[in-house]
Amino acid sequence: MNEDRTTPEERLLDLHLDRLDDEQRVLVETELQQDAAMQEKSQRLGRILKPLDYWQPAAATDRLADRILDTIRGQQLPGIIKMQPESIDAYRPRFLQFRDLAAVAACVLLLVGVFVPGLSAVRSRSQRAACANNLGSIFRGTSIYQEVFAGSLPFAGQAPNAMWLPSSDSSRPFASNSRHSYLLVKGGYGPTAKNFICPSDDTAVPMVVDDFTTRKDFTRAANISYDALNLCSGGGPGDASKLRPRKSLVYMGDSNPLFTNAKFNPAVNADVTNSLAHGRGGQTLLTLDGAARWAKSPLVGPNQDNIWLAGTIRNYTGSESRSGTNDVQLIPGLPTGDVAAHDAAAHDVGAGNPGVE
Amino acid sequence: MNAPTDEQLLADYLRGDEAAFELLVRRHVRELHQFAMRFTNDAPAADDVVQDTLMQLHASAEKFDPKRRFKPWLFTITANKARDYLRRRTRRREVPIDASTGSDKSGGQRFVELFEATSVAPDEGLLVEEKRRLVKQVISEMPTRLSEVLILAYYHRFPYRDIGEIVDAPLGTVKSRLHAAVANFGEQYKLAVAELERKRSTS
Repeated sequence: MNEDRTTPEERLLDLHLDRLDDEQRVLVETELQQDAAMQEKSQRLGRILKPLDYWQPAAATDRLADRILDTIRGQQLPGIIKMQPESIDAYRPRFLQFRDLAAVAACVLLLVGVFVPGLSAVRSRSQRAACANNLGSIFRGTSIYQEVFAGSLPFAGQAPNAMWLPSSDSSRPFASNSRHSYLLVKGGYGPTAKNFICPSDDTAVPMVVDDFTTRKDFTRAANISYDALNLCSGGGPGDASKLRPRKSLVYMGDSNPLFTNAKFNPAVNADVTNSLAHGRGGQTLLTLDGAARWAKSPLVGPNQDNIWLAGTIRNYTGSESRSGTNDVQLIPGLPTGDVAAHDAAAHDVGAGNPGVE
Repeated sequence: MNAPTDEQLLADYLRGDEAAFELLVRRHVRELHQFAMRFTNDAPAADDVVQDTLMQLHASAEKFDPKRRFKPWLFTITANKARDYLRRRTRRREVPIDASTGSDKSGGQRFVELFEATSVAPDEGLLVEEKRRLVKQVISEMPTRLSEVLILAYYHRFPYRDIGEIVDAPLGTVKSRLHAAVANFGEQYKLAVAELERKRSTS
């Protein structure tokens, strides 16, 4: 990007309209992180553009296509116009001869040698950009949900005495944290099942659309790459039905490295370890002002809050809640399909759900 | 196997493959319709615009320059049809774009002012449906040269180069029009919100 030729405001507009390539995006996001005034401008621009999302015209049906095709056939409009052979050739690959193949192979080898290291970095930046796009879509859905439910974050109801990690204690039901954000998919607030899949997560698969209406949560953990704000606190400070979150609060992001395979791993140093996504170099985080930013450390925000921890707690069983409304802890969603041993999870934790229309 | 590109399908159609044309229609009809809807703010008109576009595509496909990309070309036809419709419907007055929304020069004053604290409409008290109605109203009342660029850039995410092709304007003009369009939208939406709030308070 030639910064001499664009003003900061123009760069911000390009950022908000997804008009930057990966390299430009990283530069602007770095500018944003270093300049509080620019951050403020970015937030204002986001609020100015946000109303545009409310106008989503009803999609045309197949019947329109049928009608148009019928009209064309019925009117017997001028038939297929034959193209000149030389023009047709522009679309058709001709058969390659051996010398062509040899030349292509040599070029490919040369390009691989020169560009593969760079391609890896480009791919990494591209994945980060796609990840930020996903979180942006989730933010837009969250915003609309908040409009509908008086500012509440997507919230599938409290499960009294529930754990957010599977437990051997049969007296404690299991309630996955992902059931809250699942409301965005089920309710059709905008984000698709694919938006919950981080492009760097090779093991993830989007949830099947056919399952949306019959379920209260994603089908399995592989359907959601991102971890979300701990809302499983049973009426504590994380109770989203009462939550009017600070706009700079981190709401969702790449997965918390303290938890793997539905278990807490005490060997991980929460102070210095980044998410396992994106090669452990950092994590993409979504804040409630709509910004999806790349953070190279789990200590974020003005108070250097550790987004992997609830307050200062270092060991987790799944019953912990955030230490206050400004504390952030991202925890994994573990849909009940992955914790079959915990039949208690089948309890209808969404009953009496204040967050469902 | 990768799906055939638009350009391949058009070439197949030109060789006599009607199925290729049908696939092109089904591939693009939804996005064209959304574009026409936002452009005309009129569902039946949007249907007509899309139908006229695809009929012209059927009849004039040989005019497509294989060196160009198909999709901007298709949207160019649609934009022309939509503009024709708007001219027929209202013969509405085109407001010079530098009258209240900055000039075509890049970084017009209004665009910079957009980033001031007072530029954001306080619409928290409005229902989603009310906001949707206001957005439709503001865009439909915007000068066509601005609204078309805003729609293509925001909703359809076309690159500047493609927008320039569709609206037949150079790159710098496209950028300045987009800046003016965003500034115009921010300003007019704020006024529309204030007007709605005023009506509410007096009723």
